[in-house]
Amino acid sequence: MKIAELPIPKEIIEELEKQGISSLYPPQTEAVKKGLLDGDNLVIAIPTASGKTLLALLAAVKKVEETSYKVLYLAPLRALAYEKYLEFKKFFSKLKKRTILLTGDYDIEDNRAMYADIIVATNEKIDSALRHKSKWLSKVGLVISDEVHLINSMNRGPTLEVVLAQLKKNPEVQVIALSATIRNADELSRWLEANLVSSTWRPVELHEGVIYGNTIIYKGLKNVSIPLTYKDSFLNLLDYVLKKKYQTLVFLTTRKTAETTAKKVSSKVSKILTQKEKESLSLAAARIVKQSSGTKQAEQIAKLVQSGVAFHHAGLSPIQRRIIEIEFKKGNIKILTSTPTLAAGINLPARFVIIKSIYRYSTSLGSHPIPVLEFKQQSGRAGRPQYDKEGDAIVVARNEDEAQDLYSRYIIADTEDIESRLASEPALRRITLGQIATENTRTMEELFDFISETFYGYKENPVNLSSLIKSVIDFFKEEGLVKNNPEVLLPTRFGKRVSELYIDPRSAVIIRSGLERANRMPKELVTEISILHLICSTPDVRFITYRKPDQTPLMNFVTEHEDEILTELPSSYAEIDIFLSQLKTALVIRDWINEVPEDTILSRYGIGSGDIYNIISNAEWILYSGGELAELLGYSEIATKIKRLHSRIKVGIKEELLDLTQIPGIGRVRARALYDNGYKSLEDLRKAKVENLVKLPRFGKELAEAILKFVHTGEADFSLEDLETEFEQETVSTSSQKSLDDFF
Amino acid sequence: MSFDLQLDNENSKILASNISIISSIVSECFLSINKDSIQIKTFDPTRISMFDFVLKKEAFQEFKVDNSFSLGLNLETFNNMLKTAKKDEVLNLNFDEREQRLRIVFKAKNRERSFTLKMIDIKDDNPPPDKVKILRTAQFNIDASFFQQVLKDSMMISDHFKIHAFPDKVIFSCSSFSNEMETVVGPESEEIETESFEIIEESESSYSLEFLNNFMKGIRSSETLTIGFATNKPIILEYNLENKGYLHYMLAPRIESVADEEDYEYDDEDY
Repeated sequence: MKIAELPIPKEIIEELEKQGISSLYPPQTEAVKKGLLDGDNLVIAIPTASGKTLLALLAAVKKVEETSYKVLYLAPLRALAYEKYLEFKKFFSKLKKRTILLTGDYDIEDNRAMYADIIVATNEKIDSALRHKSKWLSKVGLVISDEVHLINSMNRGPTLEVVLAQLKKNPEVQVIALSATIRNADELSRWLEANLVSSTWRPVELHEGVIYGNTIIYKGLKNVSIPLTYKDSFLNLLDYVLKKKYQTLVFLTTRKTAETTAKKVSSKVSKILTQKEKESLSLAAARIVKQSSGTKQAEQIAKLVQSGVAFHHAGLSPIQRRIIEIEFKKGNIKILTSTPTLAAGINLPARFVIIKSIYRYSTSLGSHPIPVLEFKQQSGRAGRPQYDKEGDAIVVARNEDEAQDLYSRYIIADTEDIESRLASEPALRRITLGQIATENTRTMEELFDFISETFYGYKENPVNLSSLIKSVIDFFKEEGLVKNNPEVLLPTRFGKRVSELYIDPRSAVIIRSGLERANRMPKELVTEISILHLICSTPDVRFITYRKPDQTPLMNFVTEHEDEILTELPSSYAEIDIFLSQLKTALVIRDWINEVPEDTILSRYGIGSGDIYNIISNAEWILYSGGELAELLGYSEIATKIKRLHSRIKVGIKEELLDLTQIPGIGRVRARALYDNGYKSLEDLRKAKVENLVKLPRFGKELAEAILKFVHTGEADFSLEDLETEFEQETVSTSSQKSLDDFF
Repeated sequence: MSFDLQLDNENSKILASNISIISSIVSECFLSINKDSIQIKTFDPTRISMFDFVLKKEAFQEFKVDNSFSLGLNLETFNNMLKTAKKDEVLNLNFDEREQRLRIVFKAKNRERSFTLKMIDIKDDNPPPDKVKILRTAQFNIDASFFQQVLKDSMMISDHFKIHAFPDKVIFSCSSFSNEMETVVGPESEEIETESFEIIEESESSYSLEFLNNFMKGIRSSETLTIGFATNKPIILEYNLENKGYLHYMLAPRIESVADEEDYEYDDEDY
């Protein structure tokens, strides 16, 4: 089917043709035939890179062009939401339609959504919008749910399911669910009352295989022998892809092996780079260093990037990750070693994929083999539609038996069924409180009715959950989140607020008891660390585990600061482990808000820049919620303390800079420069002159003028908002080699 | 078209060492002959740098040329042949149009060795201009050994360096993420010929170390070079062969440019 034949606006057809898309792939054609553009619900379960985004785009165009409805695009991760947002914005600006990205802050109703045509958001953000009963939701006419197979995920699955269950209730809404190839896609389609497009067709042929020794056993192809230089087949395979100059993605189990493998191959890779690639890479490397305030980690990454290699894991800061992803997409980075996080992340295909190990470590399961679905997500990254005719995905076996086992377990296997993860206490706690607090459900029966709308409810009888739900409700009543009324389920003020804040009810209870204790304590004992530790002891903050060398300093810290701790001290060994890890997390935050140099934090706690970023963005919200709860409970003095901490964690500054950071465009670095140069408050700045300010590092004339305008009139220059992220404002300069032709 | 040239042992070494320098950067090029000199004027394949080599007839014992013309040479092979010269040999270069071969003959008392080198077709759509003008706002003569040392120091740090000329000094510098190198030298120093020091205006420019080093490797460290350049313009290194000719090397600068800003704004949580 030709794009030009589709009933969509000319501008979009032209834009697509400009990108080289002129006809639809077979599964795409099937989707159109099954009602994609006719408003029918659809489940589209096809491999990565087989054109799901195009389908989403077509359906969205059709909807916004022909109706006054909005389109809501749901992504499971912020990174994915951001990627889609950029893609959609590019297309829809051609149609003069507004595309916006909604993530983060769960406590405000976003007015921007009222005036947008396409809204890209995370599932969590929409779940919170549902709890706030945001009005714009009723204007949505198309819901596109991406990576819907993540219903299977313990962490994110329940929210995804509940959001879809609520959105699909509106009969006006067309639901398009995009999924990886899964075995029980038909069940999903029946749940969503949708037509099903299920296919394993790929635009680039995928050759999956197992390597053992120096032989690659392919599915459907002859075995291939590669040169045997080492005992280790993984090393032989690396040599092989380098020789063939295949851009390669290597999946490894741990951060450490990802890093060491990258280092190992870097000298070999740097030899095959062209001058042009080298130049682009040194630019990227310089950028990584500049954007990371010169940490050792950044220098190490920069050095690798310069030789055409990189690693990718959650310890990278978002900006480092972004730069690496861009250089990989450009083809400059030849080998990217990654932990499995990447497979779940953004679309980053390669010519060759090596899966070094199929084992994964988790705290609950220990070391365990990954599900087939996950394996297929990794192997599916092989083959770049714009460059390759075929892609290879090879898993490394340690011995002959394992080769056999991997072949039958992964290469020729079907993916597992996806299952609902709703039937767990933490999931039900959040969901049930959400339903009660919004007064959507006032009785057990209504709760069961609600659950019957979910994927769980489609497959199982919700009554099976009664004992779990009963214990959750008992907990709510006991803790005063739900009123103690035998007839109807009504939220208390506390319960309602907790639901709005979108935190785990158990976190709220922990915070409340900590606040009560703080209220009884002498004021001077309620310190930064009291509050930070309290926040980090909630299940909403993912703590970083402590290492052996941390143990003594942490224990000493506890002895010295025991009086300041707002939770019960641990009483068993298991509790001690968790307690110390939570404390370590709190100390990272404490260092961050005391302007300890990033490099010091990284080496002190043995973590990566990305870890700091994750802890901060995670804890920030809970700290905000803590402040809100303290206020609600009438602890106004502590509330003020928490709110000041919250302002500090957002920018990462000491108390003394708070005044200065009120100025739009002033972040931690510029505020510190002002303060250290004698401008300690807005009052000091009122006496300042432009000439003096521009002498400070990172202060331009425009900024200096805008600052003075702000301190004198209180008016913020709009352009100042853009300067807020000062790290990103910095331009990296580089030198590029000229040719003599430029001068003769 | 033909020629018949003869060089004594000393001058054949001068030819050999210059060909060796050029062949370290350029593998094929034209050799032009006219009634006064032989000349190689060629870009390197990337067109980032250029050689201009002239050996005048004064350097030759015999210089018989019937016409002006050019030959396509495989410079590497030519260089390898020239390198075989022995102390007691004189060098003869003969070319005859009919054979399209260059004969390289080493003659000593009662001994004669010869090579023939087949001419090659070189496509040169865009040859160097006849007249090359290099703007120089800064110029000075410098010891080759000193300049070689500066290059060596710089290469420890980076792949390019900066020359910054002031009325009273020249600073060579380079930096990497973590390390820096700086060499300051004044006109009164031993390394620079005081009277040659001529700075019309403060000038500052960056150049690739790889190219400069390949060139400088072949220069004897006891020699003196003239360096001339202007801000963000090519640099010229002049190596004079007294009255016999010269070797000039021109190299385009690296120019500091601000990177095109991509959309790096990124707001993300853990995967």
